[in-house]
Amino acid sequence: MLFGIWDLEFEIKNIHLPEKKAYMSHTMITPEMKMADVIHMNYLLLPVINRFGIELGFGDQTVEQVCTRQGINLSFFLDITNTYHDESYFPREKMRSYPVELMVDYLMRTHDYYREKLLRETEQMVEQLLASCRGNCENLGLIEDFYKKYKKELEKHLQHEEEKFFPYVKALTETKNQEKSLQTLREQYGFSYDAHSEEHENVIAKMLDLKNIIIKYLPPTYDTATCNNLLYWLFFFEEDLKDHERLEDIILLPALQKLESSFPQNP
Amino acid sequence: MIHDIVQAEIVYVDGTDELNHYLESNTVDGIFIDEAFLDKKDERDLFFQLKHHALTFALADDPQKVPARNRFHAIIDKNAPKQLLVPLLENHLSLDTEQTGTRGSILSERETEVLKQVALGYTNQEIAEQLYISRHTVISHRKNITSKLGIKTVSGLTVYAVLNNLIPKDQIQ
Repeated sequence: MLFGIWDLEFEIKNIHLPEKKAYMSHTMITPEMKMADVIHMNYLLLPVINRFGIELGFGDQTVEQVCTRQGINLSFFLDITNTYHDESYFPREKMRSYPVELMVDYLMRTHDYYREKLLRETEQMVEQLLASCRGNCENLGLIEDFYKKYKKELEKHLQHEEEKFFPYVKALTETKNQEKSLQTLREQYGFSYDAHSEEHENVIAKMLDLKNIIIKYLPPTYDTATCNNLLYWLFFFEEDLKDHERLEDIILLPALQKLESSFPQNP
Repeated sequence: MIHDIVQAEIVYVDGTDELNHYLESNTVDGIFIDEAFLDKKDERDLFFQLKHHALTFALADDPQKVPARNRFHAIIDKNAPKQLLVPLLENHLSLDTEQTGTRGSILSERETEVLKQVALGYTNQEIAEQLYISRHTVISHRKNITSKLGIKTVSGLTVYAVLNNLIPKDQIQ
């Protein structure tokens, strides 16, 4: 390398600094807070709360009451929702103390939501955008192709996590594996930290690109309201993906590292 | 070293405990980590998580030997000349607010050439050979393209290139 500076960001990474969200106030979510107020404070938490199996119509019940009623681990619920709500929330030691099954279970639900809701709805909105085309429609076709490829990639990533990463995490908790070395287990499940992190970055970078292409470069041969709908949705989608990545990095990986530390490093 | 080149408030902390303590009540823009701290796996893992809170830079005598290199925003050679570090850091520390690319969006002729090659699916090395420039120059052009257009991925750049008639649609891979 010529200048002695290894600038990796360009080739592999994007800069994701925690940008402050406009809707976000720094009030923490607490057990005493009414669940309805949580939604009023940050409506983007709706799908997060749903993933815990909580549905609306909770009247004046507090967060604690709703969690108790539904048999949800209150402390885990608070840490997850606060992590979504405030990007600087980072209770590292506490996060490490949760059983990984709890986290994996939550992440699996997130995956279902991506597949069954986010990806499908986005596809429909892209189709609607194409259907609203007037004049030259070739460019809109590019957006459709881009999205279809993106969808496949994200599905592959989700599948990879479900078939390799999550089973690897679970395997570490099983007594029958206590005698095995980490290396053996990683090979068995095909898991690597770096590949995992890289895939996340890529998924988010492409979403950002798609938004920018539509906002800045796509000639507007479509119905404006239809395009706005798609964009609102993409912004929302991107936020959720970022939060998902943060949860894995901040909560699951530390727990995983704790588990790994009890295994011998070499065979 | 960093103190010489960055006009900013700098706080020194020793180890992850002190760092954690500091971060509990302060926000920071960037964190520089000496390679001495990267030997211990536990500490390293903390730094990886920090990328969600700030830009993370590893300082090393031999950047090739930094473990898990791609998990830092950049690796800085301790022996690199000062005048080269300044633009790098300025660039990194300002990039985060430029998601949409604000540096004037007109690509230079050379950047357009590089963009076409990228869109056609060539690697940095292949582009360097075809345009008779160094690989480092290709990387630098690509960085400028991304910064000007607000598009980072190859597939995104390809769509841009077709939209602007830089390459024909049937040549997309």
